[in-house]
Amino acid sequence: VSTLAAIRADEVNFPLFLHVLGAMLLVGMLFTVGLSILLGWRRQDADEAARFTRFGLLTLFLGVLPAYVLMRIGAQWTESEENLPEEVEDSAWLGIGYITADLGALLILVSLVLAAIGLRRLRSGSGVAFGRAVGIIAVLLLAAYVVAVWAMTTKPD
Amino acid sequence: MLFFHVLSAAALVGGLAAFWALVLATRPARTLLSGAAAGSFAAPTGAAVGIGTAGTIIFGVILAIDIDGYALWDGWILAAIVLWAIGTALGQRSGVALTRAGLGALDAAEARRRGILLLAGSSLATLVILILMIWKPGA
Repeated sequence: VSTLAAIRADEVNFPLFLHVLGAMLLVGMLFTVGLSILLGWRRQDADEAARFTRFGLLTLFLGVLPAYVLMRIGAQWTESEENLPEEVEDSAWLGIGYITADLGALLILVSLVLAAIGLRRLRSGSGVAFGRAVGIIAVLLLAAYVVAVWAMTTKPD
Repeated sequence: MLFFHVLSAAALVGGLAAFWALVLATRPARTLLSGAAAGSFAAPTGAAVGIGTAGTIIFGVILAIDIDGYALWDGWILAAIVLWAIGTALGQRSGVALTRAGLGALDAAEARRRGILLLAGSSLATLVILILMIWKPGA
């Protein structure tokens, strides 16, 4: 808690703002992808299922990707402005942040490929399975980012 | 406590962002989701915003009382509480207007325009709160 009360250097505030805003938008966009694909999954009407899936897959490109870039650039910029001591650089909480961010980048990249194929196939009436795979990845990422928020706020070591 | 406060803030900001995605998906010119489909998306999203709204104020007030050096009557905390109340009121009215638009009321176009304006106001208030939380002016 005392970390929260610590006074930060002014030059850290803007990159930290970008990082936090990007992370919160990322959570919202992943929620949108996961929820819309789940709602499509439960629909009996094939047209409505495809519309929900399309909404989720488009959100991945137009929402998740920019939010991730904002979060990641903000994180790197914040770290470079803070001039963290070596023991903080090696700390578990920062490590968890990097692991979830970098593993997240890989999973988002896989999702983008699946979404591109899914969107193409949705035009011919298939592609829902690709959407479902993207939905599962979005939910997994959402869980991973909750762990990252826990690590960033509680700083376990 | 800080974890729950930040997680609530993520639910609030993320939920508002999800509503903006829904607004884009229900554009009259290029409708992706029908009014009924939008309603089934809006219900859990509204719940996330509600949980985030309640969580940010509850855990935020506890943190302000709990942390040495901060007090509820600090200018930046008071400003955040006022903006939280404004943002919540605008958000609730936005939900009512957009639901009316989604149900296809006679004044659906006007209700949608009004709902989007109110959502913008609520989002702006939330953004300013985030700025106050990062910069903590006067702390």
